[in-house]
Order: sequence, then C-alpha cells, then structure tokens
Amino acid sequence: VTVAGQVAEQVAVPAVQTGVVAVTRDRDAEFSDYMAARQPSLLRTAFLLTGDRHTAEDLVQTALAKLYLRWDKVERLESIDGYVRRILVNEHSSLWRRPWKKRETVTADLPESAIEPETDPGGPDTDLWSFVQTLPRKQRAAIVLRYYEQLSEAETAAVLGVSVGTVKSQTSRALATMRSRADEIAHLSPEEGR
Amino acid sequence: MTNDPIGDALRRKADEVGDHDHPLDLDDVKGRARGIRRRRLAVSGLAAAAVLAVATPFGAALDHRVTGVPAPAASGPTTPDAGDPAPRDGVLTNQVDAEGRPPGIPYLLDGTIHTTDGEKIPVEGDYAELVALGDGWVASDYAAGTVDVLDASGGITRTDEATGPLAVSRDGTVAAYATPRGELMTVAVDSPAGDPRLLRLEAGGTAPERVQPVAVQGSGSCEAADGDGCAVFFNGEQDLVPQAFSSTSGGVTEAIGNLRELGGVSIEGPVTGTTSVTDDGSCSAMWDRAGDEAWTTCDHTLGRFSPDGRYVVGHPAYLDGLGDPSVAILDVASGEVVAQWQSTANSQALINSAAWDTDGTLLATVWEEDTWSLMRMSPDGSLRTVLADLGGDIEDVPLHLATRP
Repeated sequence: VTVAGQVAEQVAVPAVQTGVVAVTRDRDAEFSDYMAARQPSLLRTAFLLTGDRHTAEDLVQTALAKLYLRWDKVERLESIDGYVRRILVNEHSSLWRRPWKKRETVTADLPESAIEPETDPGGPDTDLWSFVQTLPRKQRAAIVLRYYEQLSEAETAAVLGVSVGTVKSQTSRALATMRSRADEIAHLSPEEGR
Repeated sequence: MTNDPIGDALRRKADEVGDHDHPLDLDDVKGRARGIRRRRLAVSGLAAAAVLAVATPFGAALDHRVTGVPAPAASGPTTPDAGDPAPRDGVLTNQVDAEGRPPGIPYLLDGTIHTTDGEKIPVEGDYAELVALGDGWVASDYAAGTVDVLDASGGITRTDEATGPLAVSRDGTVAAYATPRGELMTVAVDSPAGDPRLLRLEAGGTAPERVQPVAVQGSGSCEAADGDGCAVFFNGEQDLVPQAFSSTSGGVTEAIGNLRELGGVSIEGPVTGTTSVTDDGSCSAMWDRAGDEAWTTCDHTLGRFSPDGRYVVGHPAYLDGLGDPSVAILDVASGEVVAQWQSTANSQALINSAAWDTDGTLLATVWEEDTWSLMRMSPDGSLRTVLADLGGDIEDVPLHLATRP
C-alpha cells in the first residue's frame, strides 16, 4: 500500500467501519477531509501527467468533482486514491482521445508553459522531464504510475484499464526510447520489471 | 538517492508542487460538480417540449418506443408504440426495445474488427480507432501511441508512432494520421512504395503544431506529381491559437478562415467548424461550397455530414471529456434541427461517439444503466437499439465505430 493509499484509508475507513458515522457525518465535511489530505498529492500526480500547473489544477478539479458526485458510492471502495487516479488518467487521456473535446485545455489564452525548475536548470532532471513530456499520454501515465506512484504493473494496469502486458510494453517502449537518448539521460535508466 | 533514478527525478519534479498546495476548495469542486451534473441532465422541460415540437413534423409516424426498463437482448423488430402510455420522444437513452438493423459500417469490439459483411477479424492491437483503407485497415492503438496498417486479414504490415485521430478519404483509398513529432502523414493504397507520405506543413512562415487530421479529399496515390494529389483538412495551433487548416500534397498549407476547429468536411463543399469558444459554450458555423458563412449556431457544435450531404450532426455547444448528454441532426441547407435526443434526470445517458451510417442514420455509443449500447438515430426522430448491453466502464467504451469521411 502506498503512502497515498494509507492516507486515503485513514480518511475513508472510519466511515466504512462504523456505518453510523457514514450515515450521519456530514458528506461535505468528509469530502473536505479527503481534499485536505490528498489534494497536494493529486496535484503532483496531475502535474506529472499534464506537464503544466494550470492544466493539472483543472484536471484535479474535474477528478475531485467526479469523485464528489460519486462520494456516497466511492467511499466504500477499498482505495479512493486508486479511483481518483483512474479518473485523472482517463480524463487526461479522454481529452486527447477525443480531440474535439480538448477545449477545456486548449484555448487561445491558456498558459501552456510548464513550470520551470527552480533548481538545476539544464541538469539531468530537466532532460528526463523533457523526455517524459514527449511521451504519448498513456506511456507517460504508465511511467508516472510505475516510477512515481510506485504502483506494481498489475496496479498500473488496473488504473489505466489495460492489460499487464500493455503496461509492460508501454514502459518498455518508453525506456527503450530513453536508452536511445543515452548520452543525455542514460544514467537515469532503471532496471525493468518489479 | 535510491536505486530508482526515474522515480527520484520525477519526485523532485513533483515537489515543485508543495506539500501545502491547496489551490482548490470545496466550493470549487462543488461548482465543477454542478456543471458536470447539469450537462448530464436535461436542460429543462421546455427543452424537451421544443425537441418534441421539432421532431413531430418528421415523426408523425414515429415508430420507436422507449420504455423505462432495461432493454432485453435483441428480440426482433418492435411494432409501433401504440400501447406506450408515456412516450419520451427525443430522450437520449439506451433503454429502448425497438431493434435496429446491424451497422452498415465496420466497428471494433473485443479485439475484433466486425465488417459489414459479417466477417470477424481478430486483431492484435488494443485499438481505439479504425478506418477502412482499400482491402485493409488503419488502426490506432492509443495506449501504445502507434498506428498500424493492417492487411485484409488483420495482420500488421506497418507501424508508426501516432497521436490523435485518423481521417480517411471518401473512396477509402487515402488515410491520414499525425505523429507525436507534429507531422501529418498520409497512407495511400496506390502509393508507389507503400510508404506513408509526409505532408509539408507551413502556413504564414511557421508550421502549425498539435496537428490532428479531420478529413481527406482525394484518391489514388496522393502524389501531386501523378495528377491525383490530395488535400488533408486538419486542426492545429499556431502561436498557441487553435486554427483549422488544409494542406495539399503539392505542399500548400492554408488557414481556413476564422474556423478554430473543423467539425466536418463534405465532398460537396460545405465545411463546419467552431468559430468561438467560451467557458460555458461555443459557436459553430456552416460554410457553403463557395466558402461563405451560410449560417451559425451557438446551440450545437457542428460535426460531420451525412453521406448524402443533407444533414450534419450537432454535438452539445459545451463539450467536455465526460461524453455528450445530447445529440442533434440538423438540416445543412437551413440549419434547422430535424431531430434531437437529450438525456434527462431519469436517463442520465451519455454519448461517447457518433458516426453516420451509410444509409444516412446516425450510430452512437450510448452509456446508461452501467452499460454501453450501440444505438441508431434517424432524421425521422426514431431511436433504436442496435447492440445492447455491451458492458464496459463509463470511462472506457468497448465498441469503436470506424471513422468515416
């Protein structure tokens, strides 16, 4: 269980276990507790998925809104975070999957620039970040979920809604591309499979 | 530093978002939730009445029947709804008894291409989009970020990196896709070497970015030198501003007026596209074959044309990633809505995608009651179930209709 998952359980479990609490506790207060605990983490994941802060906040807002609409059902799930991660990834992918639905993120006045690193300009982190942003969205999601969220291949497959084999091929393809840029970021190449 | 350098690097990057960053409060989330819910529900009883009024002249012989119970497995054509005590004409739903005929266009379902001849061709990729190209196919595997050219039996003959949608010419001899490198490629049945061809994109001194093909006009090899060049209509961005373009195999790229995003391109000449987008809607225009604005609407996002060019599909004016709570069929000549289906508080149905069938009816994948179904919608206002209870998740539709011209 990831740190994120543990925090989610701390928020959700009391309501599940007591039953009475789940019924009587104010829904908005419960949801606010969840937001307070998890918003920075969700924002970080969304930032890695989208590449810019503005879009990340928009994505998190939509994901939390969807979660809010299903809160009565979702709070019974084992991992709320897993559910929200899936919304984040799918919402981000669906905007791409359906190009005519991009307008929430592609507008003339939307800031497109990614946050520039405050430290280490031009260093290996910048190289890797630049590389990650060139990946197709699902490949990027696979890398973020596997190496940032530290999910297993099976957990990543569940979030992405694809087979474990697809996760393997996604990450392998991304790592292969990374190796092809060995001069820049080879020192970041990890061992495959976990 | 751990032995996970990628994870470490990503975590350092993610740390730019602080531990105490809470840009959103509960009101922000509830506001967005209200917007989502509002778009999923019927606009109002007035809207439903308007839909009924519009549909009536065409639907004097309305032959569909909508019930409030889950649709059973296909059980044969249903007779007119004389006994239905509460007809819900114009309601978007997948809970319809009336059975529609099989699709006249191919589709992907459960890793298999279903052809119009009833043939089922297993394919290897996790494809989410498909076009028929000659005797074979071109399919996009979004998860892999690739596009595959398939032979008639589904075997992969070529793979390229790709992003975004596919487009295909009306005669099915030329397809187009975009690469993550920002290139626009065409694949032609008659291409001399069988290789994808790179379209040269440059308009006003700079090449558009984030290109996504919408339509292809032309046939044959798509080589201008052969006298049968082609043109690709596409959406892109220039200086971060969305803009519609066309590019010919002769190397000429032009912006298409004030259209931000193309919706559809008719072989007869008319073009649809959005002209403005706001936080809560958009406006679209119909351009006639002379390139003049024939009419505009801020009630719909105009999409593709019916095969005979008489109708155009109207998606909601406000689009988001959730799916569409309504769809309309509009008359190309007048801009009038001839039929429309809208989700209600009871149905809360959503459309993932809609495509014109060869007979001029609209096929759409519709989510409701925790399942996807393929529905057929006609300009006469009828709504029928083509394939019921396909399952799936609201975020992941199991059936993908072949992209049409």
